[in-house]
Amino acid sequence: MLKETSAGGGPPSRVACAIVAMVALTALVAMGPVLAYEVVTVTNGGTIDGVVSLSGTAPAVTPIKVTKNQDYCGQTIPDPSYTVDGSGGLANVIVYLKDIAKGKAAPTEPLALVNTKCMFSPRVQGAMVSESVKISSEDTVLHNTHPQNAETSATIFNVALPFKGFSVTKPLPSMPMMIKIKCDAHEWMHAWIMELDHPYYATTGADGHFSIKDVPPGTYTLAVWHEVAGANTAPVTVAAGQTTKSKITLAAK
Amino acid sequence: MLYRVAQSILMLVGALLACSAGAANTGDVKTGKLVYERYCLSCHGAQGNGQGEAAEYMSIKPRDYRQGTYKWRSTPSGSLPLDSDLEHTLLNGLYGTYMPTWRALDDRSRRDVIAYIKTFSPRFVTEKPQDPIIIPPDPGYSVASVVRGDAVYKKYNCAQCHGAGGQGDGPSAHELKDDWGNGLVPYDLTKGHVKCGDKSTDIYRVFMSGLAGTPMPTFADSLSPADAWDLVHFIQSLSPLYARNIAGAGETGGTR
Amino acid sequence: MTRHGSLRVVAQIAVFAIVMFAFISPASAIPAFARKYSLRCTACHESWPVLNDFGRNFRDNGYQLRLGRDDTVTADSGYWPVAIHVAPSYVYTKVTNQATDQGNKNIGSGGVADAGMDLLTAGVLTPNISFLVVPTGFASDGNVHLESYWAYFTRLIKNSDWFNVRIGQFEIDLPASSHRNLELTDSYLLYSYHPSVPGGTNLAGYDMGENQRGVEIVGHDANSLTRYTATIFTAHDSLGSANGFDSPSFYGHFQKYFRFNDGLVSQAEVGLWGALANYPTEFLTGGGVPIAGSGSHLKSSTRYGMEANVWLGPLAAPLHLDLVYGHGSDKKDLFQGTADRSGSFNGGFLEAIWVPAADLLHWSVFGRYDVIRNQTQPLSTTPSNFNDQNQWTVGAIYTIAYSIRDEVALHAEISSDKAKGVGNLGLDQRTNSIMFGVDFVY
Repeated sequence: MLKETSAGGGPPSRVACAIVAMVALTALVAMGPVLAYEVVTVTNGGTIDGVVSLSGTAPAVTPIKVTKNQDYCGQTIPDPSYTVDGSGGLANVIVYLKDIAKGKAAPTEPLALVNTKCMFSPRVQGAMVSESVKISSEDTVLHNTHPQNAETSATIFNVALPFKGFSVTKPLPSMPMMIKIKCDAHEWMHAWIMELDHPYYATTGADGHFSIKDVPPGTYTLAVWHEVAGANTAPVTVAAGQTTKSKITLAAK
Repeated sequence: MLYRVAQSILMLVGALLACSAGAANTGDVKTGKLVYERYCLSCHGAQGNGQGEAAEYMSIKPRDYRQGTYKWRSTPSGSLPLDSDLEHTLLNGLYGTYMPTWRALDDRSRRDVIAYIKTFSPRFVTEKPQDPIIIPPDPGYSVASVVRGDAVYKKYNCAQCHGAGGQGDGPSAHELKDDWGNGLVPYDLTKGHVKCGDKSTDIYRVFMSGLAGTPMPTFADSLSPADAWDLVHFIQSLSPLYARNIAGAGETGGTR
Repeated sequence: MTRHGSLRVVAQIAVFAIVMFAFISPASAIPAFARKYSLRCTACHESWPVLNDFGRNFRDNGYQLRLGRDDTVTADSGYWPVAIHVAPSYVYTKVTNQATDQGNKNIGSGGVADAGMDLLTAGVLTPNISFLVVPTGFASDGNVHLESYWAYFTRLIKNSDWFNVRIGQFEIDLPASSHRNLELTDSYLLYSYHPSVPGGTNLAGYDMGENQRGVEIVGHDANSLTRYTATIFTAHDSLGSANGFDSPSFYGHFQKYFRFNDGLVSQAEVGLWGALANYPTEFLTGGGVPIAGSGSHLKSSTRYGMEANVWLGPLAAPLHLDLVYGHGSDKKDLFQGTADRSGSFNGGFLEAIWVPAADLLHWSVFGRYDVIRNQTQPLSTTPSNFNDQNQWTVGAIYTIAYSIRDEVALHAEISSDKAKGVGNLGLDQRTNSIMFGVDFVY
């Protein structure tokens, strides 16, 4: 039997740690002098108000055909992937700033992810690293909330929501990543959390509008991400105490 | 970008700390590579990606080590396994799969190959496994406990995947996929010999740890220990194999 | 024929037999198992075909891994329990001091010999009943014989590993298997040597390393680190015997392995072994030929000794040293009146197998030194060192490829055997061999 030297097992061998140290060092050198996000008090920050709209015609979406628990979930569920209003405003888009080095603190209220009517709500949301998410179920059927690293499909955790009214709060990974969430029991259920190293993000509402507040004055890259339409960026300049209007489009796919 | 820097710094510090702590009593990666080449490579592949020459022919695929995702863990959902968890799998194999028991190997070979396998995932450098799940003693198999366990099975909707009779044929049994996109089916609980071990504690542990990388979630946040034990006994009652082996009280289980 | 002349013939036949044995020796690597369990040869073989710890345990367990995939029903449907092994090779052998009409000569010859084939069929019939059948031959002479065949019943009592029974024709559990050794040009002298009267006969002509017919009881702990075997068998070609109960022969072997968690030595083993083969020295004859079952006046040929193994470095790529010592004696009556006393000898070998820790374990380097020293010559007038032997073999194997389906290896070795006084004119005889072959199994 192995002897555990600690809860984490023993340290790796000298060869392994030397290799890892070299890899880490090389990575650092290659990246140059960049620093982690710094929380500062933001006075007279600006606001970015904008709208994300879909250019072109959104492909017709067919309702999701429910394949299990039809007695509870119904026969079909509207497909929320392209939720576009009359003027082209696209909902469920994550809007965020790129490469912002300092600014406001992480939001205080916990993220929420609700299993309701055999779907996740909200569909997409942003998060700052190491935030926790409160997962709950309003359904009588069993759900499981199974977040994975969207890039590698590696499981982050997988928690059962066996009955109505159950909730649990789970920490998110300590590294920024796109998290894709599934419910294995109901394969059509998906949600996304974009985990960033800063709190400057927002999700578009039903009309495609979003608002990012308390942005330190400066010029940034505004980025958007949608589960089907993909990503786009636009430059944005924020002036002290001012509201900057922004409009960014995503092409329908 | 910033976090990659942070990650690199963390890796560097971790590696230096690990190096200064010395390698006493832990596996030797270099030797572990030899052990891996001798015994593991044909299934798990030279890159540790689970795509060895034999993998193609297997319905249950060999583990891809690169994500640090392991089904058999004593640790909570989302955590890395302990070294002793990996050793448990080496010692016991995974029943019904191509993963045999490696009990005949010496401790050194097992210790070394565990150290080597961990190098396939950077998570073992940047993360620490969480504390193991505490498993209270098995209160013992009884008809009353089985009856209560039946109610727990219903309350927790286990039938959603495992079916009303435990045969792995619930409404969600189809179209299940693991982290690698391979299809899989819920375990037929009437067969006995669950892959993670035959002891009652092994079954208990699965409820609490979940099977990482598969659809089986953790019930640690919703299931009380008393309910969990009743559920263990109910599951044991589903298989004639266990029924034969649970004549005695205390920790129950089969032999191989 | 002179005394030395007949010995020359015996020596030549012996050399021929050894070389032929090398070609047709059923090496016991069985790719059928590799296919069945998706493991490479290296999982069971330290250096194919020498078994490692995992392979020894697998074999002791009746070729089962006991995780629900062993028997013919639950095994992969692509599995078919047959493998084929062939080893074509070039051998050059030179034997010194041979009597010819032209005088005392050293004669050497070489060529690609007529290789035979082993058809290795083995598997699990139903949980805890395994089998092995090995037809061997298929060479240009067309002969085929069953080299080995047995059924093995495991866990017969209360699911215990301490009582398993094998019945059939099999190799007794020798300290180092002579069907799984790396050397192809020389066999273990300790197993085959018998004291002799120059020009005389010895009824106990058996080679312990050959497959014997009988029943074997095997017991071992879970990991085969402590194990015993007890065998009752009919020693090969026992004149006048119909079965093992006419001329019962016995073999026993006990082994214990020790493991070390730190330091250079990773594993060590010690063992005791002993064989008592009985031969009828009187029998009824029909047309001059002994009648089976009529033998009586059993006389013994005994062998016993001890063994020690050490593995240096990691067990996955070890330097494995194996030292075996044995004492042998053949009773006077076995020499059919040509001896005036029983003959005895001491012998043994030191074998080394090194698997370098590089190149995916493709290489192995091996060597062996065999020694025979006569203690008592059965004929008191024979020089005391007559037929004392020293033999060495060194070689290397490069495995070109091993997969879960097959294996192909290049094999080269040289060997030299020196026997005191058995050559022409009572000279020492040296037999040198060089061999280069390709060994494949699929």
